[in-house]
Amino acid sequence: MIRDAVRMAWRSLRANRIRSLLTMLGIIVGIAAVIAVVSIGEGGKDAILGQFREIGANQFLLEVTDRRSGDTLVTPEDLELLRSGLDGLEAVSALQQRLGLTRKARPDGRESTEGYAIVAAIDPWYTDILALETIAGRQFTDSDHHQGTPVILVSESTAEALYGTTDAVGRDLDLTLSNYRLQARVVGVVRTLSGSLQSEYGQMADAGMMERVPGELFIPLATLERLEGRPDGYVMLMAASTGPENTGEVAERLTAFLRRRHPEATGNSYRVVVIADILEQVDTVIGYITAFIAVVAGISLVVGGIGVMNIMLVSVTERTREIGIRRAVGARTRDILAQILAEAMVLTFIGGVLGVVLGLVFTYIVTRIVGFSMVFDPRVIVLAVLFSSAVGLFFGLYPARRAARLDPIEALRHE
Amino acid sequence: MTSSPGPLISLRRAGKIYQSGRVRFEALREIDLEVAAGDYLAILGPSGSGKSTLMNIIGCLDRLTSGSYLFEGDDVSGLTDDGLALLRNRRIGFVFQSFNLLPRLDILENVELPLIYQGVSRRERRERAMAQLETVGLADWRRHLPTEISGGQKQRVAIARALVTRPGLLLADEPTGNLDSRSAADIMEVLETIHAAGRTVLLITHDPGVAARARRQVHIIDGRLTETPVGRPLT
Ligand SMILES: Nc1ncnc2c1ncn2[C@@H]1O[C@H](COP(=O)(O)OP(=O)(O)OP(=O)(O)O)[C@@H](O)[C@H]1O
Ligand SMILES: [Mg+2]
Repeated sequence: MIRDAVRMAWRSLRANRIRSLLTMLGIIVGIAAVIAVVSIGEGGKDAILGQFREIGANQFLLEVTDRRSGDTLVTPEDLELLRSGLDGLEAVSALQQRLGLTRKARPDGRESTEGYAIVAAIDPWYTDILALETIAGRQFTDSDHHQGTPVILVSESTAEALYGTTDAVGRDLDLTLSNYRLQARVVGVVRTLSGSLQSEYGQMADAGMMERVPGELFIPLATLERLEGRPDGYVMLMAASTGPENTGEVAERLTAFLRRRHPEATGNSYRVVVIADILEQVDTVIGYITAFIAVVAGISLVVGGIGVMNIMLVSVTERTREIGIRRAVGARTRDILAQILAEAMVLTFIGGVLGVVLGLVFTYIVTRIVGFSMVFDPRVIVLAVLFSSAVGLFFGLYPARRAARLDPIEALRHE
Repeated sequence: MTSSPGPLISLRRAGKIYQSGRVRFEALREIDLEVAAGDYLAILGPSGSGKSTLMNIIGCLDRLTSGSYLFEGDDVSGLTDDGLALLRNRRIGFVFQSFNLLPRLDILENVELPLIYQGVSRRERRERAMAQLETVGLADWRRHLPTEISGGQKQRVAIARALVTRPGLLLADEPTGNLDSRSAADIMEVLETIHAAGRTVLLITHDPGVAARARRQVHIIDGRLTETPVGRPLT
């Protein structure tokens, strides 16, 4: 009986194809919006938070934002003092980033340019904060850090891009950093948890300004300093507190310490970014956006539902005689009710399915443009289709009851 | 047909009053009528006299406002709307002057229609509807729409639809009213065959010639019923 009702509904919707499609439009748009918002929102969250998510809740960054005296607002001495005892500070690491031009020897002996890579020069404390998981080879040793040996760790994607294999240990790499040239040897392939942390270079590269080598390259900070000389100061620190509960506190203490040491620092010379705060803020903002668009989508669905109701009322009036005929040959009131409800639900069900498809297509396009990965939850799709069917059920109820209540004789006489 | 002891149809002092707003119209008054199973009854009368009203009552499409109606010995007034629908579906077949086929369904699907409401499977529906279409000689037209066939053919489809549930009673409200004389004669022949097969047939007609072929004739004038003895048609 239900199968027959659905089959009948399908036929009558097909008989009025254009009208059915127009009626579905509200539902389609509403569902598409829901799907797109949820999927793009999830993808966006992943893109924004992905690099932070695995880092941990007890970490923070300190950036020197004062352009004029920036070079001396965090000195190597400051770091030594901090390490020798700041309450609650687990580790602090100075981080230098450079854009490096990579070259590797071609089999025919000629050199070839491979592109730009982001090179992170890390000190021994870096790995106390962010783990570098060894895939092949080894990590930097104490002597690497002390002597500034020309050694490199590469991430898997970098190894893949440069050598066509992740088994890159022992390979040579010719690296140009600013004005210095470094003949280095790959000693390890690592998996980084962070993704590329500071991506100002990455953004330039991603914007198509230069060909970029994916992934990350690491050299010891000492190696960089052997080339460039020991700097007067650093502009970027990574730090971890002893636990997530005191991260904010430790960050403040650290800043206060630096201010005492550098009275010339102004109010906004130091910028502290607590990773957990970013996570929370991004979550909140995306939550608001999602909620807002969900409301818009909800309104669209309600409007679509009213459209469905309207068309079903028209359809019932048009088919009064048909209903009379069906009643005459034995259709019960509930058969008529089921028929009209089925029609409304098939309409909104198809609208829902089309909406899902449209939403996914839209999501795909947007994520391709923005560069997010496409994340979608199959449960959202099922839920969306169920919900749109429910809209049909709800808004079909009134027309269906009108149809079911028609007096058979009046209906038969109707023309 | 099981031979039931009492009449198939039994109306006692049956009355029908239409009330729309303050306007009250007595369409049927004090009708007494018994129809035995297997009978063939013609109902005659001027326009507006209440023939269709009576047929709708007998066909369980409508309810009396006074008196009683027993169908197969059971009082129909006690039934719910769904109970009446069930009776219409299982026991009664309708044929209308204006055919009343569903325009968007093809011929075969139109004939299948009552079986849908019996919950008969799709395959069995197809088979039974096909068999019924064959008896009215339209099997080859099964995939045509009602708009693609002639009036006489439409009425034969309607008859096939009325009979596909194998009802005991066939009600025909001016079945030849919209047909030319040849098609009309054709339909009358079909009805006679149906009667000959043991079914009870009630036929509304304006045509005394058509009525003369029935076994019994009743006249309705102003909602009152009088029976004309057979062999002495009114002139
Ligand atoms: N729903 C209604 N409300 C009020 N009056 C009605 C209603 N239905 C029928 N009537 C009236 O009842 C009377 C009988 O109608 P009915 O349709 O039974 O006549 P009929 O004998 O079948 O006529 P015809 O030969 O024209 O078909 C008519 O005068 C009609 O106007
Ligand atoms: Mg009539």
